[in-house]
Amino acid sequence: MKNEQEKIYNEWIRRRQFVPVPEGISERVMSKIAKQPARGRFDLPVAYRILSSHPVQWAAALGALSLGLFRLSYITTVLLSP
Amino acid sequence: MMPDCKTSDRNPLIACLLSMAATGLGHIYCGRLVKGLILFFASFAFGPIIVAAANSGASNLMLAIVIGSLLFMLVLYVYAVVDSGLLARKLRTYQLKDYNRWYLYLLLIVVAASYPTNYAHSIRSHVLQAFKVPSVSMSPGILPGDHILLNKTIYKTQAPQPGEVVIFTYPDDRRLNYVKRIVAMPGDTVEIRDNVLLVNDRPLDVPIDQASALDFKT
Repeated sequence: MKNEQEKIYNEWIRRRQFVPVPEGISERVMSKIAKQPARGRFDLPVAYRILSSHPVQWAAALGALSLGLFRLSYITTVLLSP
Repeated sequence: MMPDCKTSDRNPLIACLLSMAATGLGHIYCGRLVKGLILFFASFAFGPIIVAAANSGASNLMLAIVIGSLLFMLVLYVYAVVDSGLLARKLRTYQLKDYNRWYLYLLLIVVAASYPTNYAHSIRSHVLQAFKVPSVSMSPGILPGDHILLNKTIYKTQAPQPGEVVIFTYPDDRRLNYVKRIVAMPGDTVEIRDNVLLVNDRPLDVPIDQASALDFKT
């Protein structure tokens, strides 16, 4: 059984050599794979740069302001609306 | 040997944002723990003030007390935001305290967001509720469109009396609230004869123009 599997594998390797592949494909594939981990990595300076950017600061300010004002208006509504 | 202490700049914008999210939190962020906590708990003061006023029986002052409490909250809110921003701007290098932790800030923000709103609902359920009158049944004492602020605590300490205006849940439909005047007490005989209301065989005469001057109680 094991000899049978080894035979199939060796045959596959042999036939694979006849498949035409573009020049330098291995290097291109490997360089792509090498880049991939960087995509999901959490980069603290980048996160800090995004959080300290003006649009995010404005969004946070508006969010906090609306949270405070919403709280006041909600309490007023609950107490004084019919 | 240098002491092991972390320092950090205080950002006025963050101080203002924290004060907006929870009154007094900006001061805690800037190291003013006591003042921050005073502002934080003072922003909840509207609840105990309203409950105390309702329990004291000051029905005629309830509206003024409620509006005053809400205005107090608004003033406190604006003051905390502005003052914490100015405070953060003054601080150059700040030595971080034990309580300068993001999870403590988050905890206070969650408490500030949830506790007052729940308290307000509790007040509405048990202490005070606003109503708008839709019908003419109590005219001219109470007109359609009139707003009534109901004190629900009055009859916990005293019994209803004839002549008082009350709001009650209609027994046949619990979704409806009725506003009516008490004309008789349990055991009294009530009769209408020739368009005259008789209580215990004596005509009840409540001048209409005095109706609106009577206390409104539940």
